Amino acid sequence: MNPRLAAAFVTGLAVPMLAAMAALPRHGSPDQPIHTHVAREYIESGPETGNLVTAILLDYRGMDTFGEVVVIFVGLVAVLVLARHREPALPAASPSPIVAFIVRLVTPFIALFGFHVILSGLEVPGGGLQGAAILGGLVILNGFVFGPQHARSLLPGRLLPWLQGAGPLAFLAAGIVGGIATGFALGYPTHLPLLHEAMLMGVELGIGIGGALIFSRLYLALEDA
Amino acid sequence: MTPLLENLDYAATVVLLLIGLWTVLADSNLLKKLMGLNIMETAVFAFIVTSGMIEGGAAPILGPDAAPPFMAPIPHALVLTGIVVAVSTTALALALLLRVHREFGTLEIDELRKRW
Amino acid sequence: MTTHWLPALVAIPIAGGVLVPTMSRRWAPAWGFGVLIATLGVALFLTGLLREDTVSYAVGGWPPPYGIELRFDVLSTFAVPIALVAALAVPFATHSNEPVTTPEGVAVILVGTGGMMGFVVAADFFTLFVFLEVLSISAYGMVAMSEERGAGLAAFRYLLMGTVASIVILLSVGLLYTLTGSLNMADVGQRLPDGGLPLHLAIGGLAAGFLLKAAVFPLHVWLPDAHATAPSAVSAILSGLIVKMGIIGLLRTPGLEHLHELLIWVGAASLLAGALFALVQDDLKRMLAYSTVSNIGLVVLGLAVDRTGATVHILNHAIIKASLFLAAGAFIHRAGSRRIEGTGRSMPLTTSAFAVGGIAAIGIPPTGGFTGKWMIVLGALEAGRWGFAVMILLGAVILALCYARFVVVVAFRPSPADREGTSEAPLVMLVPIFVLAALSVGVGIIGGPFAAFVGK
Repeated sequence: MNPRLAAAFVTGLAVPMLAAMAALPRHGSPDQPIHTHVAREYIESGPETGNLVTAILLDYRGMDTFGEVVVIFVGLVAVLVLARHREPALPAASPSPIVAFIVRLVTPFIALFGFHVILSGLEVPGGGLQGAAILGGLVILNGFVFGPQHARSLLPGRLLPWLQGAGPLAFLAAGIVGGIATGFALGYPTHLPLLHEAMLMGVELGIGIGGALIFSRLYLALEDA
Repeated sequence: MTPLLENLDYAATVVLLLIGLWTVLADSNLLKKLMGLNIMETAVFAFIVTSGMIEGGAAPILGPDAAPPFMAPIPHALVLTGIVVAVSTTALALALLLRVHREFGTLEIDELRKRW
Repeated sequence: MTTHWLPALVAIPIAGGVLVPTMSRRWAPAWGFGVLIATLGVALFLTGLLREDTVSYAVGGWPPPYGIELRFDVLSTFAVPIALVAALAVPFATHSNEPVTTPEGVAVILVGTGGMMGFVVAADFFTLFVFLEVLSISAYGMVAMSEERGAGLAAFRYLLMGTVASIVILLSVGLLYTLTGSLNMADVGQRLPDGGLPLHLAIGGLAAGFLLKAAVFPLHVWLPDAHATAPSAVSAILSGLIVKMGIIGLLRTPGLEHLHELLIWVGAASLLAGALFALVQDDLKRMLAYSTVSNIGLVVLGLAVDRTGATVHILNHAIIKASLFLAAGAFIHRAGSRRIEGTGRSMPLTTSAFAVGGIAAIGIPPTGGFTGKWMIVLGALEAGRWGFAVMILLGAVILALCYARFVVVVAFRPSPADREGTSEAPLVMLVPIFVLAALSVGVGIIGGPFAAFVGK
């Protein structure tokens, strides 16, 4: 589009949009609908301790999070369809010994931290996808330093097709188990604390591991193309 | 003007959104259009997350030490979901741009029109 | 009423899609077909339940508005054509050499179908957005499956426009949430303020986003390239199903009655412009793509004058347009290129199915295309807008010229000299085309009771 026309269009949009912003409930005030309706119910009668955002992601609005892991799964699959004509990846330039040593040294610690973030998300800030970003970043870091071939060797070979779908599959399993235990798909049985905890951990691990593999494979597919 | 100044956070996200939209519409490079798209997405996430703000509020992590008022937790959850959706769109868009570049050797719209 | 089959309608195709990449290339199409037929069964079962009552499901046991509600209502009956067209597209594509039936390709189709199912049953605005993204990303991936030069660019333009639409929709959902503190559709509808600029911005944003997704003139520029370059089986899904999601989104928008005057004009413009563009196309698939723009215009006009008619027409048009794109795919498959002149001489069955689809698309009784179109015409007359009724009939006349021309090109033009005698399309292509063509007539014959069921 012609830049002048675009500028006129955007400026024309700015006036009503800014006016609408001015007419919204005052930002940060405690007596607006956001704070007095559904959110108040969560804070007052939800879990007594823990990270309420994770509770919403996994429990109250679990269906949305299921959709979210399905979105990254289908994003990866669509990229894989596109990346069929791959040319052989360039061999990595040999990394400087200092960089190589440090990356080798920190790799296990970053991996451990990634799993910690995945599993501690129920209590403190963190969670499956945050951990997945750390683990995926670790694979990408190794790819930058040692080349994509090395990064690929970090991924599980034969289990990869199963594990990259771990997020949706964990949700489906939790949906069925919850359906049997509570009568509602994706319900969490609060009367069975052990099963409840196991389901939450399983879903977080599924999101985390599946997400990490998807991020890694996206990087590898783009690197190859 | 006063109501707009009180809602300055919202106004800022609108400005950011329109900057992104301008980039999508006016820039002649497809990669920059994609960047504009990401700016727009970020602006909307900022709008949603800032709507959950409460003056003097704490993060919605409950426990014995935490004291109300708490920020509304739903916008945080919505934005987390939204970010993942945006990542997935961007990854697919980059893969598509790689294919466009392989087929036509350019990402400039004017050049693409000639080589179509 | 509540039943576990409602979440299963979304979960079955998605579970099937997540599992395909673990399978070998040989089994992927059969698995995909089986999963989609199972989904079709669930959709038919839920539609049957609808005769008594709307089905509602509280996911996780949280009652609305605190949790996510799924709801199977009259609009959700679109799940039946979704499952049917997707199921027939998979075997159809097994003969093409494009990667539609590789495990990854089938996964994209299955997950996209699951996304559409989630979209039509979502009773929560944010869930609606999430599943809109599932189906949109699948759609961009489906266009990119084409091996044709330029398909990457077409898919990227589609992605750019589609994502702008999604962002506008998400902003509007955020505005509605700020105004009401709720995301559940029914609850938002009750708690909406009476007026004010933010409310109008939210409704306008939702309408603009969904109109862009539905490819209404002049926001249609992404559609012809995307729908014409995609593999034919995919074009059937895109043109038959995915653009209709924009219409369903519009029907879910609260306070749409404020915009009726806009919709009626935008719809009429799209109706005529789409038909006129279709008239000047030399490529069959591009003509079909512009004919979709025209039909979407008709439906948008119908939203303002007769919602039942609009709903009936999106259901029928899904089946009609899918049968036409599949027939076009069969011609192109046998011709080996886009130059399909004369292929119909040796493909009488495909040609007759194409002609039946064309008659249905124009809206001649007793086909399915007639029922909805007639209801919209009557609605326009009843509202005293006879000018628009005339425009609808004029659009139908122009489309009739388009389809007649291509029937002549296919059936009576001599084949190019370099092409030896072709033969009838293979059975996996013929059967899907015939099922859809038969349905596009059959639904019209039971048009009265059908419209009554939708209107209830």
